[in-house]
Amino acid sequence: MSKLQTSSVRNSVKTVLAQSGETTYKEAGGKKRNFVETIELQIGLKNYDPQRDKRFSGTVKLPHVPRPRMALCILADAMDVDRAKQLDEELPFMTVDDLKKLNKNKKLVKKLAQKYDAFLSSEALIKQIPRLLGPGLSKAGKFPTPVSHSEDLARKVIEVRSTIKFQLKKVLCLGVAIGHVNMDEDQVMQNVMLAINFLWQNVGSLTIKSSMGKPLRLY
Amino acid sequence: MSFIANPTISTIIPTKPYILSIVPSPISPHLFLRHPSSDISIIDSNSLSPVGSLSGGHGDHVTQIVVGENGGVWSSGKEGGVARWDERGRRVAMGIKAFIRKPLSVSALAVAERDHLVIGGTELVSSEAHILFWDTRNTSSPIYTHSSTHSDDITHLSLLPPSTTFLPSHPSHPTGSLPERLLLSTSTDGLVALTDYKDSDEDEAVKSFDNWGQSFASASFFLSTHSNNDSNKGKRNGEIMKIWGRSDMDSIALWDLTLSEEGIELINLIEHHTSDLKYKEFDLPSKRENVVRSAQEEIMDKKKILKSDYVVDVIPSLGVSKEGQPVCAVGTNEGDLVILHQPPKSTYKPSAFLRPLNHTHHQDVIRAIYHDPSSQAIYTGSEDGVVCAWAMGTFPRVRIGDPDVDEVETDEEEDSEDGMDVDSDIDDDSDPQRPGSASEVEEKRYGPVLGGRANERKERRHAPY
Repeated sequence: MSKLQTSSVRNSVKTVLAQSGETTYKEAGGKKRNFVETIELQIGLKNYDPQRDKRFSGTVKLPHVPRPRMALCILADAMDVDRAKQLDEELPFMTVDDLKKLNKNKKLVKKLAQKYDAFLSSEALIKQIPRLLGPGLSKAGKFPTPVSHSEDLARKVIEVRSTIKFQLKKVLCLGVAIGHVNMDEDQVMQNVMLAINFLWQNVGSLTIKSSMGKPLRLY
Repeated sequence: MSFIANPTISTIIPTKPYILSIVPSPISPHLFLRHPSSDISIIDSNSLSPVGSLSGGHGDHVTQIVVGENGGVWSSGKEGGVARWDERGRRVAMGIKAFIRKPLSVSALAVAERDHLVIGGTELVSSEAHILFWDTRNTSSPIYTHSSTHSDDITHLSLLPPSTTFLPSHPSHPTGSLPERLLLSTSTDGLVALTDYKDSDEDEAVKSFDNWGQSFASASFFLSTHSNNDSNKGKRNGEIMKIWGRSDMDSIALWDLTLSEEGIELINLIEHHTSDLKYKEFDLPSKRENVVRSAQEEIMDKKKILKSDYVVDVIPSLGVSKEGQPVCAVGTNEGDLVILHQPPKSTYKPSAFLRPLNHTHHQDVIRAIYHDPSSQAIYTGSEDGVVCAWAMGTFPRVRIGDPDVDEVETDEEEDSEDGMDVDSDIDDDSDPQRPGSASEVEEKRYGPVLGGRANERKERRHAPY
């Protein structure tokens, strides 16, 4: 990490936030947008040959949730239905009977998959999913993450929302969302540093930007 | 406890660096080497000298080499083809094209020769990752495809042994109601699936899924007498089928395969996280002072610690611990290999350090490891094109994390060390500085000879359980 100056990263993060901030966008040369912009990192890799080297793919759990509005649903047994209802922000749920009603109908399963960004499932139920729904959820890349009764459901929801995926195929660059402009500076900083740390050995170039903002080169 | 060993013999294949996998031939004492190339190299398993190549079957990198249960040698290619090889004639015996609207890169391959089936897993093309099933008697187009099981590149396919051999009978599943054989598949999407591969209806074929959440680099199965779950201990007689998976982030996952009222299930997931395996420091065992060492060894000894940079592979054939955790290997960017075992109630600990001595050995990332139990040899291949062979008879027995086995071994180890100095003998054997050391290696080797007879191996493969 020696080559990357924490202070310069902090300055860039400040600029990105200022350009999209409610009160600061005018002086910073940004523009007001009608949605919460995402902050993303764009990474160019070095010392990596996608033809020969190991596949480059992994997930990282960030310290702060980058996607707070990600729509989740839990495929729940009786106990998890209660737990989902009791959360501060109620978690949408589907019971075994709800799933049985889909009757393995491809269109209905697909519709369910499209409605949410990700799924959780009670451990007891997850084993039945191939039988209840067929492979529809896995085709959509949304096969549920298991939750056991001993896990804190609220914490699990945060964990899923703060996990980001790196994947590299054929080309030497990748982009990944690490936050949004309503986060404070320290939160963005911590997310940036953790994400970079994960693949630092192969980082050739590094750029940070918000959805509509100007890109800023970090490294 | 642990020990250091050096290669018994080694060879460099300068024209084809990056050895990505090592697969034994079913009919001859040869090894197939896979490179990021359209050709497969063949080397002799005793001398490691190159004896030829299989070429002309693929238009792009070979992605997998598989030997079928009837001894056919098959390979898949990035260009979208599968080839069966005539090993004696060194030519293609059969070519299959993976084509659905456009050529599909075949990234994983499994063969069920007795069922006349070839199964290819493809990379993600046009938002679909297919598992294609061809009848070997008519390969013009797949007889059926499973396209919903995975949502990203398929990285591994293999066939489990007949389910009757490892699944205990269950009251709610009378004999015959279960699929005879299951297909294990893993993918970059983080899912592991078990499929009845004879069922053309994908909605019914998938028997079990689990979501690891990490992209699979590779996976396979093994048998162990120990469940991942302690409470099951002692309740069952016989062996449990287990699945291991290795992720692109250098972590390892293990499942038990069981039968319940719901059907076939993958349960008791145990994870060995990246931090347990990668960038982990291992203390090298110190050698006794009176041992004569070469100059190179003196230099290496000064560095007392090895730091792992990646996981090479999981090698259950080397042993499975008391708690059901298989032996695995991690490596360094300098070409050192550390064989790890898991002692009871502990994380992975080193069993053996397989270290290069000079520039004829691994100097780069080790990508392939193959353990041949019949000849007690370990073969390794690295990115700089070096193949090393390690005769296990020349070093103490590798600890596997099962006290029942390891304790016996400790006694033996002490006995032999009382009698003669094992360490110094190894050093002499493989010391490349000495003139004529190559011939002496052949004579002085007192362990089982590298390689082994081919027909012995063939038998094992026919009835592996």
